[in-house]
Amino acid sequence: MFGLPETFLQIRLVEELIGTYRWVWPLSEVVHFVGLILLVGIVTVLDLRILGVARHIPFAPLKRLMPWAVLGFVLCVASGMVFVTGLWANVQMRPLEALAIDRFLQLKLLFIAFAGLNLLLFSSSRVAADVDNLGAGEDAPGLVKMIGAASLFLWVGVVYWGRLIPWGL
Amino acid sequence: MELVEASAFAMWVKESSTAYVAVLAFHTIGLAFLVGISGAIAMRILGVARGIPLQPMEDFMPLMFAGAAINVFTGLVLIVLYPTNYLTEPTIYVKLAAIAVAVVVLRRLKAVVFDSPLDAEEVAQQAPIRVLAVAMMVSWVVATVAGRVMAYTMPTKIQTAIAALVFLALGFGMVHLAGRRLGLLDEARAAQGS
Repeated sequence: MFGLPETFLQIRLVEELIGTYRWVWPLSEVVHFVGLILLVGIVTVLDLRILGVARHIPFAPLKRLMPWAVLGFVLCVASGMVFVTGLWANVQMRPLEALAIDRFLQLKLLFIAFAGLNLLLFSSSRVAADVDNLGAGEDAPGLVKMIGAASLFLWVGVVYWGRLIPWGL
Repeated sequence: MELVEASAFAMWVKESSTAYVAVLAFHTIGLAFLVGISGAIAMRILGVARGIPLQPMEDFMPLMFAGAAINVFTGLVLIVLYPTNYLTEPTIYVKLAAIAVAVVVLRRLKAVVFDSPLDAEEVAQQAPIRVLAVAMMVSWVVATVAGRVMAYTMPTKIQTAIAALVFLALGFGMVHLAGRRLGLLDEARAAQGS
């Protein structure tokens, strides 16, 4: 696939760890869930404020929660890499094969990419500074509300498609 | 239990290619809303992002309750589909007990911090309230771990629970030591050494 070697993304050490220690895979699941709770929970709080919920909270202090969302994302990526690089030890399927056949995995990655693009669009736009200065009782501009709604939809979608991945293999 | 398991509803969900997995997926979305938002409120009570006014955070609670409603519904559906499996599984009782503790604590926090005539910021400074916030987060972690390990054998469940405990302890230590540098803790709070 894509001219890549068949064993692309397979890491023997991770496979051996999963094969030797039965708790490695479920621990990675726990870490993935803790990460998603942090990430989606905090992104939801920020997006809801943009959409006009809890408008008595200025946006700037709410942004102080963002590092926790980033930590959640890092936990999800790290545990996700365990699933990918050690997939063979769990279901005897190569990562590239899973990527090729699992439509839920494809949709999850697509939604993550769109969520990233959405964030990039927001942070590189002039309205990002306006949102940072959003005071208590103030409403976000319409365009920002659309970006916030898209973010909420995309991250919920990431969780939805992600949970379905085992059924697409 | 066999009658419930073989009911028309249970059979329809199990035989549908999308219904069963959708129930599972919505259970996870409900978890993210319920635990994510209540976790954000608990973190604020514990002093994270102290610039956020606490009282208006109550406005986020409706979505948190919606998450709870989604999880009660989807959780009941999952039990109805496989009552013999779930109800003879000891881990589900650990999960349900942890959820019960978290919900009782959450209700208590709501009553004392948000519904009280006292100033929410002052109430949140009190040690018993902070203990409640910690208790709620610990209960959610226990419920999440119990939920995730349910499909595994008992030795794997126990090993995973121990590994999760070690992982979380290391994570807590990392936040304590490097939280300010990583932007997780406020400057003033880290300076106080907490």
